[in-house]
This record gives sequence, structure tokens and C-alpha cells, in this order.
Amino acid sequence: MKKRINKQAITLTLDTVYYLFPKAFRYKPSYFLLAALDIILSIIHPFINIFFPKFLIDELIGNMNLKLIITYLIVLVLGNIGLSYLLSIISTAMSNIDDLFERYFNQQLSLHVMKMKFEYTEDPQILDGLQRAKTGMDWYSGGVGGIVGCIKNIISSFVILVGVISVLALKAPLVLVVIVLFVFLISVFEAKRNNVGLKYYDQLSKMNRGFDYVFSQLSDFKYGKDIRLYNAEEMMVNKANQYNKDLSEIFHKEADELFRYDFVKNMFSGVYDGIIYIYIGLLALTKMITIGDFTMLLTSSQNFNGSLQSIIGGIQDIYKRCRYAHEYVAFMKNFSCLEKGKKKVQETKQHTIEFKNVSFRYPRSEEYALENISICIHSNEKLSIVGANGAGKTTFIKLLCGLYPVTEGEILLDGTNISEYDSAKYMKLFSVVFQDFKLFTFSLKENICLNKEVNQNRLDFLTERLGLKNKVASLPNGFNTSIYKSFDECGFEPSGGEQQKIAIARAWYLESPFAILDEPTASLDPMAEHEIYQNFNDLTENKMVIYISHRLSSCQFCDSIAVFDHGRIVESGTHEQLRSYNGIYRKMFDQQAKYYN
Amino acid sequence: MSYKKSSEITKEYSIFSNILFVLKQVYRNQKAFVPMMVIQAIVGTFITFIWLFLSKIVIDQVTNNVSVSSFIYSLIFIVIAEIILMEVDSFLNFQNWWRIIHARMSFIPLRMKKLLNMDYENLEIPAVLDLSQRAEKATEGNSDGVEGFLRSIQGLFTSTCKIIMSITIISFLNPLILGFILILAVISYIITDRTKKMDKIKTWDTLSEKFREQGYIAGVEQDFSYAKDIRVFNLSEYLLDKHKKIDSEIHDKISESKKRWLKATGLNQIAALFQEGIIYIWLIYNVLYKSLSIGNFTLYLGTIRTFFNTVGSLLSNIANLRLQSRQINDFRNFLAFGKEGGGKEVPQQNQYVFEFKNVSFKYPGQDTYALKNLSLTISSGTRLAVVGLNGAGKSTFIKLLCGLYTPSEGRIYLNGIDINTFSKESYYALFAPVFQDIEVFAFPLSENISMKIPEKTNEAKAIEAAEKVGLKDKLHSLPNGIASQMLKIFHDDGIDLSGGEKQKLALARALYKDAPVIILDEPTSALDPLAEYQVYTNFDQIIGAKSAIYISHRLASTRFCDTIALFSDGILKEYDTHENLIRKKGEYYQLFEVQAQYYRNQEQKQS
Repeated sequence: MKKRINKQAITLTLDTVYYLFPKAFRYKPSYFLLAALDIILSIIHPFINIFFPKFLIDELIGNMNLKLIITYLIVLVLGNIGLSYLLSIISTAMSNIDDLFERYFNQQLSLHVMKMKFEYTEDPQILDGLQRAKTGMDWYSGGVGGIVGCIKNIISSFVILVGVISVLALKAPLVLVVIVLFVFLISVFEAKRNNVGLKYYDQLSKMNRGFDYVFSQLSDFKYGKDIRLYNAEEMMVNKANQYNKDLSEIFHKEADELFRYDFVKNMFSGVYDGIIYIYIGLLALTKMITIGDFTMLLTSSQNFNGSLQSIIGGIQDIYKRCRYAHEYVAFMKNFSCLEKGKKKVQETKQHTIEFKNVSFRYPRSEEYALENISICIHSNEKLSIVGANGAGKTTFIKLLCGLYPVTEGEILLDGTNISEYDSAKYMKLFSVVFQDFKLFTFSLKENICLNKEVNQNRLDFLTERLGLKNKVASLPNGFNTSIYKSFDECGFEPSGGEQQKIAIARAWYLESPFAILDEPTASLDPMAEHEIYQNFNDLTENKMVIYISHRLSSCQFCDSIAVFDHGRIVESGTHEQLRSYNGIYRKMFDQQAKYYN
Repeated sequence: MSYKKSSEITKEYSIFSNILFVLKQVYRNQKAFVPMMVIQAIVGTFITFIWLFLSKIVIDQVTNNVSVSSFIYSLIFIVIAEIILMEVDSFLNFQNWWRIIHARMSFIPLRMKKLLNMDYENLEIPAVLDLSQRAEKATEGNSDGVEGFLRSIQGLFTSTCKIIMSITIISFLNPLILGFILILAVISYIITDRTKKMDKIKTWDTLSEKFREQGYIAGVEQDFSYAKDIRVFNLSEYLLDKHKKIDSEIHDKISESKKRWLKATGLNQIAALFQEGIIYIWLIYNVLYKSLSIGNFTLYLGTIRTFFNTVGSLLSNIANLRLQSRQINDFRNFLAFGKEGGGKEVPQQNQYVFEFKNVSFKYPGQDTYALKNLSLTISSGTRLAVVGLNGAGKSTFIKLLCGLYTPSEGRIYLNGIDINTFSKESYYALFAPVFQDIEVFAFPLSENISMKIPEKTNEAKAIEAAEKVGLKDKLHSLPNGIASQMLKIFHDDGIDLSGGEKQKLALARALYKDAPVIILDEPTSALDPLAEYQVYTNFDQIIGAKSAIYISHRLASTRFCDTIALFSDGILKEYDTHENLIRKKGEYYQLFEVQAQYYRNQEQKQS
């Protein structure tokens, strides 16, 4: 069992290193050169303090050769200070690159999230994985810098250890026996202590997931109204106190348990120190070694202890860090991008989209969200989709846009299966206003034009038609005013209705042949909704339009209507046809109409 | 009450007063912390000096040729003392390690309580939000704010102990050398302090906004709810370019700061060069010409080095303390902000009549009225519909009624008593609202319905509420029923609810609360017509004799209501029954017609 853990720890560490280091090396090769330099200097440094004070003291007691004394002194003082300055230059240069690495890997993560298959973004477990990848990489592991730092430490400590042991063995050979015994005891002991550490570390990493939630989100302003009116403050504070108590209890238990180990360890190292001092002291007392040698051995022995601890700590640390960083590695390796077809979309004005016996099941779901859908949509056609919540309307749109691949059947664009097209080019055919569209805290202009060229005439036209003209005129910087105040004091907070209008403008700006509107007027007041309906035909000229709405009033300016129910198209036809047919559409329409009479 | 700048709500406390404040709060939760900290400082000092004395004693004994047995005895004595000190130190270290974290975290609920208790309208003032955010910062990290402050205090104790010890030893040698060391220490403090100030002004102050921007962009990229838009609008390169641009701006600033610190380190190293050189020369001179023993040579060398290092860390402790004290200021200012509750209980009655008398309301910092001169009476058991265009003042009206906002002018009365005289808590108890943005908390389902701590949650009542709003099937499908944990934050098998289920959960909350007034703010905008109809008819039965207020854009859904209040530009324009308002052919009529035409035309075509 223990062996398995160790083996797993090694694979995990290697996996992380194999993934991160080549990437880091390609990005900034100089970093590894700096690390090598750092190791060499860190090895030299302690030996200056081991050898030169000895020379100095021996000279002071012995020949008192002033010239030699001054030489030793200069080497000692300049060497110490010069080396530590060099080391700080290197560490500054390295930490500069650490910062670059951190940004680079975060950018890669962003890119990965933006490029991975859409279906992953709707999986809560992958969301959790993303959270762990983010925090694992920059908080706990310290990223590449943190891991390299660990390795650096282990290597230099190891060389120092070997050097120090040689010094001790040369002058006081019997010390070797004590050292071997001590190292053996300590490593057996540390292995046990390490398991305790890991046990609590597991518990804590589970607790940590909730930290931000408990201490930050529970008192978030956006819950302010509910918490006050439901008088739920006690519940929130109670949770925070409980969490604090639980967390402290783990820390407390860990501290107690670790102290039990450290108590014995302190005994060990105290006794070890005692034996060494008495031994080398006796050597000095019996004139086997000089006083200079004595101080040298004393410093060596201290360095021995320090290096040993830092190797042991380093090995534990590197595993911990890699384990956290591995969350990132796993995330980056696991979720693939959309596969790219090769075909280009034909540059014609007329397109046809056909669903042929399409069925679809969400990943991790056993039920079909769409079943056996067959429908053909042509350019210039305006289709309205209606149906109850969960009937499959939005799923239909997601398939149409290529966000999800179909489970069965096929979707054809101009006779070719859409999976054969280059997906980015295919998506360019669509301008979509999703139900849960998102605006950015950029300027109004950027929100509408996004990464497309700015065409002022079109901007003016769209804002006028969507009833935003007066709003734009009232803004301090017109189109250049930021949306939201987060980064611009003059920014404006658009109302829900204005947000919807901006989202529509953004979609329309694209001038793509297919337009899709998913519940675009849900938060508009009746007047604004009416205005948009009025301008609908102007805005959608020559386009294929798919319109999803619960307000059946919108169906009347569409050429045809498809009624979805439980993942199937159950009725289709014009408004008049469906009104005369005694089905779901008629029931829904009557339900809404009855209050308007 | 309009706070435009945070300076208007902040006060400076002295470092000393902050130390008292923090230690007092710590004492409440961790009585043992302060005594342990003091003992640790003393023990730590002894450990440092025992090493120095050890080599002195050995060297002295070697040069004096003492007997082997007395040599061994003295060493054994020192080693035992060392072991004991190390055990005590290690024990205190472990104890303080968890206690300091516990102490810091016990400050967080203070901030939460304040935030959850302060007047709701304050939450919309940027300066207050800013202060709250800074107060949060003060309780966040291990090296900032409260915890950093405690560590600095601890460091201060230890440094002081070590300095006293070093001074005692060095003064045996020569007080002049003390003065010399002090001057060098002050020089290096000045260098560090100046760099810190420059760094703050030139780098970190200019960066704070960039950090937020960077956080925003990276947040958007990695936020799954943006995934659809990013793909369909093909924004990944566009966003990543922005990300890279801002990253490189930040990086440039940060490397500037690193260069600054490297320069400071260089200057400090030069100072250290002088210090080391002069101390060595002076000590060697003493050995050579003043017959200083080698034992004392090593002792003094060690002591002076310790002293120098300790003065350095003392000064940086003080600098940190000053910085952290500012964060404690933020925390205290936040706790001291605004007035505390108070007011009397709302008397229990069968009838609750609310009356608005010439009520006007302006948002803090704004010039225009969100609501103007509103007079209106809501009698017990009414069903009131609130309609109007976006931004007409509907939600302001609701927030005023609930007591979340206080009128800028005019008064609101409950059964003839000004609602300002009631305690917020007992007034809030009158309302059960269902707002648009519904939040599920990482608690069991039962507590999500009761919104109370477990001891005060009545599970049977929660089940009843859940069943009434149509969550019965859901409840049966959950392995732990009403006790099921929501969200996956603490429990891997936590439950995520769909949008429709969340809406039902919110309705169940309102039912459980069983308050005299129910408020529904566009609760059905995302529901299809049939589901919407169901909610309204069901709820109408459930509400029974209570008062209910509906806000909706769908005028059809307000036909259940006895009275309709139409707001326009912050003014109550029309207030009457549906039939009367239609007859009046005013704004309500227009609004209604705009929606109705799509249905009406059809009807006419048909007939």
C-alpha cells in the first residue's frame, strides 16, 4: 500500500515535470542556465564560511602572519558579500522569469479553455477541475518557479552534504559512524512524519475548496437582499464560525501530532549534536585538531544538519508542489480542442441547412434531449421555435451552431455534413443572441464591433433601429463609453433591456447569413419589445432567422413555426395553420391571448 | 448619507491602538496566544545565544587545558539545556502556528456580520464597497492584515529580547562599536524604507487597476458561462491578445520594481561590507594587540552579527507593522461604519396596512430622483401589480417597501407607525420575497428553504413547502431527501438545481417563511406560458389571505391582481383596477394594447 503511494507519487512528479519543463525551456531557456549558476554559487557559499574562519583563527593563534590574516579576511568578507549579491542578482533575474512563466501558463490555460470542445464547458466536474488547475498552479505549487526552486535546493544541499561529510570524515573519521546512524534514524522517522503530513494535507485540501465560498461568497453583496429579508445572517455567520472551527481543529490536531514526532526528533538531534560536540571538543582538547579545525567542524556539522533537513523537506515539498501543479497538467492534457474539418464554406448568398433524423443526448445523460429531428431551413426564411421549458429549443440551436456534435443523424449545410467544415469558419455563418449572452466591460463600441473592423455607419444604423440612439447620445463619451463602472468612472450600467439591445446589435453587426435569437426580449418592457418587433424586418432582410420566444406574439412575423415538445418537433407550419390545428401551439397561444381580451 | 470618497468614512488609528484592538480580539478566542508568544520570544533568544556560548566555552576550555571530565560535564549540561529549550520552542511553535491562523479567521465573521447587517443602501455606494473589500483584504493572507500584524508583533518581541541580550554582551566589550552598528542599521533601514515607498508609488499604486483588469480578462476567458459567446463570435484570439498585452504591461512594471529592489540590495550589501570589514579588523586588532581570547573573539563576532541581523529584522518588523496597521485601520473603519440597528419590534397584528406619504428617493450620489412624491396605501390582503417600463422605479418602490432603502423624503407607515422606528430585523420579518436572481447556498436543502441554522430549521415544514411548489418529485429522487447537500463545494455528491428548480426553491423559501406580505419580482420571465400560468394559479391559492405584490412585464400575468400601479419616470402615474385603467385609456392601456395587438389581431382575423 505504501509502496503504491510512493510509486504513484513518483509518476505524478515525473509527469508534471515532463509536461511543464520542456514548455518552460522552449519559452525561456536562459532560466535553466541561471538555475545551474545558482546551484553552483549556493554550493560554494557555505564552504567559504567553513574554511576561511578556520584559516583565520589558526593564523591568529599560530604564526600571526599579518599578510595572510589580511588575505583570509578579504576572501571571507568579499567572498561572502560578493556571493550573496551575485545570488540576489540571479534570483531577481529568475523571479522575473517566474513572473513570465506564471503569466504564460495562465494564458495557455485561457487558450485551452476557450478552444476546448464546448460540451466540456457545461460539465460541472470540469469546472471544478479548472478551479483546481488554477489554484493548484499559482497558489500552492508556485508553478515552474516553485518546482525548480525545490530541485535547486535538493541538488545544492546534496552536494554540500557530501562536501561537509568529507570534511568531517577527514578530520574526525569516527563522526561518520554517528552520521550514518543519525541519517538512518532520521529518514525512517521522517517517512512516518511525512505520512502524517500527507494525511492532514489531504484533509486540508478538501477544506480549502470551501474557503473562498464561506468567507467571501456567503457575504457577497449580490445576496444582500435575500439575506436581509430572510434574516439569514445567523445562518451565514454560523457557517463561517463552524468552518473556522473545523479548519482550526484540523490544524490543531496536525500540530499536536507533528509535535509528538518532533519531540522525539529534537531528542535525536540534540543527542547527535551533543555527541559531535563532545567528540570534536575532545579532539581539540587533546590537541588532535587545532581550534581552527574545531570551529570548522562545528560549522560543518551545522551545515550537515541544515542540508539534511533541506533535502528531506525538499523531497516532501517537491511532491506536494507537483501534486498541485499536476491538477493543471491533467486539465491541459485532458480536454481536447474541437476537431477541425478542412472544408471551406462556399461563398454564396444562398444557403440551406438540413437536419436529417438528428437525435442528441447530452454527455452523462441517458435521455435524449432531441429525438429524430428533421427540418430544412433556407436562406431568407424566418423560423420561429416555440415550446415548453426543456423541450429542446436551446439544444437545437447549440447543435445548429456546431457547439455540440449530433449523437445520431446528420446536419447538412448545402448538402455537406457540417462536421467536415472548419468549425471556426462554419460558426462565422451565425450571429447569435443567446438567452444568457454576456457583455464585456469594454467600451460600447467594442462590445458591438468586438474584433471586427469598426464601421461607424453600421453602428449608427443599428443603434437607431434598436432604439439605442438616445442612450448613446446621452453617454459622456458616446460610443467610447465603457459598459459598467468597473474600470471607468464614466462607465454606464445598462439596464436589462439595454443589455439585450446591445447584444442584438453585436450579433447584427456581423452581417452573417444566419441570425439566431434565443428569448431576446425576455427582460424588455412591452414598449421596447414592440419597437424591436417593428424593426425586425428591416434588420433581418436577406437573412435566415431563427427566433425562440415564449411570447407567441413574435411568431406572427415569421414564415413558419416549429413547435418542440419533449425533444421532438410535434407541430410545424404557419401561424394560421397551427392556430387552426388543435394542438400545443393553439393551447399556448390561447393561454396568453386570453388575458389580453 | 452620500459618501463619495472613502476618506470621508475612514479614520486613522495609531499603531498602538491597533495592537490593543487586535490583541483584545485575539484574547477573546485564543487566551493562551499572547503569553505563549512572549515565552517563545524568550526561548528563541536563549537558543540563539546558547550556540554562541557553546563554541566560546569549548575554545576557552581547550586553550585553558581543563580536564576531560569537567569538559564533558559542562558540555552535557549545555546539550541538555539546548534539548529542553528546543522542545519548548518547538511546542510553542506548533501551538502558535495553528492559533495564529484561528485567531485571524475569527476576525472574518466580524466583517461578515457587519456586511450582512449594515443598511442595504450602503451596499450600492462604491466607497463603502471599496472599504469592505479592503477590510476583507485585512483578514485574507498569512502575511498581510491581521495575521501579518500578529506575526510582526511576535517578531517585535523576539527582536527586542535578542537586542537586549546582544547589547548586554557587547557592552562588556566596547560601547563604541554599538553606536557604529546602529548607524549602519539606520542607513540600511532608510534605504529599504525609501525603496518601499518608491515601490508603492511607482509600481503597486499604478498596478492595482491593471491587476483588476487582468483579473477581469482572465476571468472572462476562463469563465464557462462565456464559452458560447466566445466560440460563436470567435473571440479567443481577440481576448488572448488583450490578456497578453495587459500581462506584459504588468510584467514590465514588476520587473522595474525588482530592479529597484536589486539596487537597494546592492547598497545594503555595500553597507554590510563596511560593517563586516570593520568589525573583523577591530576584533582581530584586539586579538593581536589587546590579547582578546579566541573564545571571546568568536563570541563577540557571533553576537555582533546577531545584533546586526536583529536590528535589521526589528526595523523591517516596524516597517511591516506600519503597513499592516493601515490594513487594520481599514478593518476597524469598516466595523465602525454606519449606525447599528435598534428600534422597536413590529407589533403582531392580523392586518398590515402600508402607507407611503409623499415618499421620494434618490440613489446616493445621484441628482435625479428614482422615485418622486409617491403616496399610496396597500391594504391587508391586497393583490397589487406593479408595472411600468424598464427603469420606471418599480424595484426602487419594492426596496423602499421592504425597508431595504430609507426614503430621502417623506415617510412610510405601517398601521400608522413610521417604519423607521421599527427594528430592521422585525420589519424584514413581514416580507417573503422572490427575486429574479435566485441563489442556492452550499447548505442542506432544508436550510436552503428555511434560511435558518439547523437548530431552528423545521424539516417537516420545509418538506411541506417544497411539495407545495412542485418539488415533490425532485425531493423523492434525492437519496437524502430534504437533508441533501446543495452544490458541490463541500460535498462531491452535492445537488445542482436547474433554473426552473431554483425558481421553485425560491418560492418554497417564501412559503416557509410564511410572512404576511409576499413579493414576486418577475418570477416567471424564464418560464414558458403554461408553466407561468401554473405558477400564478398555484401561488394564488397558496397566498390565500396574505398580501401579494407582483412585478411583471407581461401584463397578462397581472390580471390576477386587484389593483395595478403603473410607474413611469419615477412617478406613480396610474393606480386602479385593470378594468378602470383600460377604460381610462391612459398609459396602462397603451402598454396593454402594444402587447395585446399580437394576440388581438389574430382573434379578429379568426372571427
